[in-house]
Amino acid sequence: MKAKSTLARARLSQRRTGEPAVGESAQLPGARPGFGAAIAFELTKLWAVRSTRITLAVMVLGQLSMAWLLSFSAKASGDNGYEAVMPAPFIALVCLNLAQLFIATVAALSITSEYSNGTIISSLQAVPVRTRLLGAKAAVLLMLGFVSGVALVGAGTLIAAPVAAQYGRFTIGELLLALVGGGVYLGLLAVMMLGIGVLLRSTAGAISSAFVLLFGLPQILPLFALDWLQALVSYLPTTAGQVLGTGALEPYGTGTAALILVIWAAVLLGAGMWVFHRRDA
Amino acid sequence: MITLENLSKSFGSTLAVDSLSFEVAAGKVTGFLGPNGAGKTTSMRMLLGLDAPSGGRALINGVSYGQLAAPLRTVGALLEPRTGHRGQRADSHLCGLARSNSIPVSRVRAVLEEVGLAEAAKRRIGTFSLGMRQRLGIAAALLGDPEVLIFDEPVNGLDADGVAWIRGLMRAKAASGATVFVSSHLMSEMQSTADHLVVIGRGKLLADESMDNVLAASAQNSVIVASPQAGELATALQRAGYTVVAASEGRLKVIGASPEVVGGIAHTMGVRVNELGGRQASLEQAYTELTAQSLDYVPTRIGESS
Repeated sequence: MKAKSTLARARLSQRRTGEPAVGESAQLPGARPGFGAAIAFELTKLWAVRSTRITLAVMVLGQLSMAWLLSFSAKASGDNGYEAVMPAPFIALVCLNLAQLFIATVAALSITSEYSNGTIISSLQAVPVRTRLLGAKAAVLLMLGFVSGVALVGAGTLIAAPVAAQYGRFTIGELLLALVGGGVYLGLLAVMMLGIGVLLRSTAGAISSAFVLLFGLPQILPLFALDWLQALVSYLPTTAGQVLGTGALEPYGTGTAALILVIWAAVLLGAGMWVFHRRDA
Repeated sequence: MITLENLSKSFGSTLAVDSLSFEVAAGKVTGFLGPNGAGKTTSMRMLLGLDAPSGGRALINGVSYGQLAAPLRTVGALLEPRTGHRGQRADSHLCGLARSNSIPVSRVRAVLEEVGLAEAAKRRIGTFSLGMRQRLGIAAALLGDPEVLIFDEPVNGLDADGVAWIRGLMRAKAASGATVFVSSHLMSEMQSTADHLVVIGRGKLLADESMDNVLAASAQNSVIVASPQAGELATALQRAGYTVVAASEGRLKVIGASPEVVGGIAHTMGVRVNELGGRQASLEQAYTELTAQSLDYVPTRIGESS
């Protein structure tokens, strides 16, 4: 039986050298792997790593605690006669300011950890087409970010609504807007962080960049006396995210907000893709 | 089959791989030898599409690695022992790789057993010793039951049992028709494993020969001959183009000659011979000579001179 398989293999390699364009082995059953297989690969890696699960668990805890704190504060302020009315889903959305750091960390680590522990070598052996490897990562992170955003806004609302009571009343429309807006924001933020992670290849560098982009620039830019620099704040991802989730009309509508986020994600991922394609692993 | 065509790679002004051309045939173990920094790993990385060549091509079954439809089912490679996320379990690391190439997940169990890691399947890779990581890397290479195996220094970190095991594995794969291309700096290891040798130095090809030819062509292959007329014999041998060294009183060492040649010359001269014996070089010696020559950039085609 062993001899038979050896013979079959010899015949197979003979046929292959006759047809050099075909590089696929037929020794194991299985379809020609495509983008779906690359996505399955990325999902397995992301979920199998303990740090991902821990980071996401801490993120959920942080979201729930912050939602409780903010809504408790809204209730107390309202009871004391201060203007503190805010729909509960929007309270949950504000809490994403904290949660976004965890998503950004998971997204950056999905590529920077591959560089730091050498896994990038086996990943590229498995999926040598670099646009496919990075594209699959982007798709998985977009899904992870979206699902997280929806779940966090939903869970935050469940806490905030009863705690804030009459000061957190909301409509179904506001809830849907916050759910979708939060999901789209975190999804696209994860893609941005993947782009930054590929560009920098360093976990520390990528996470510091996230701090600068999400917290630093919104604080620093208004300090300059230049109008255009101050105006730039409106076009940062955090501002666009809040507009998208709350349906605010200032400084622009939800459509523009979505477009701004898509452009940020496309530019950063595109730059990462270009560098990833050209650079030696 | 592996084909390198004028493959070159420069890093800044350094030419790490300099117009390498050779083929690695199926059904054999081909050893890839060279001193540290000779360009072995860089060549292998280009072969796997990890580094882009500055010139030339590296092909597997006639196509570049990136064009293979299911690369892990055609090529199994072990490049870095340091692979897999430290926080990931060994089996899940392999499961991910299997899914990426539509390989049945049942293969994960099979290869873990084959490399002797079945007991450690659920352990995190971060807890593995260097030898275990090496075995895990080999398990990953075998996952798609590939017909081409590329191993960079596979015995690193393995104990004596592990070294014997991987030698047996490479021999068995080659015997069943696989192309086995393995780099090493351990010459003794190659001597007992490889059928064919590709030797490079400073990025250039020094030899592409069967193991037997490399050994036969070594200048350290010498003949010891003892004769009462040693002086006359030495002159005749030198005239025939051999380097002759006086080994002791009445005994000569003839470099690069065979006993047949020395015996023949002595016979035609009518010189009496008291002792005649050949000394074959070890691969270690043959290799040292080759790479010493690489220092002054003179590639030598072994076998053509003899």
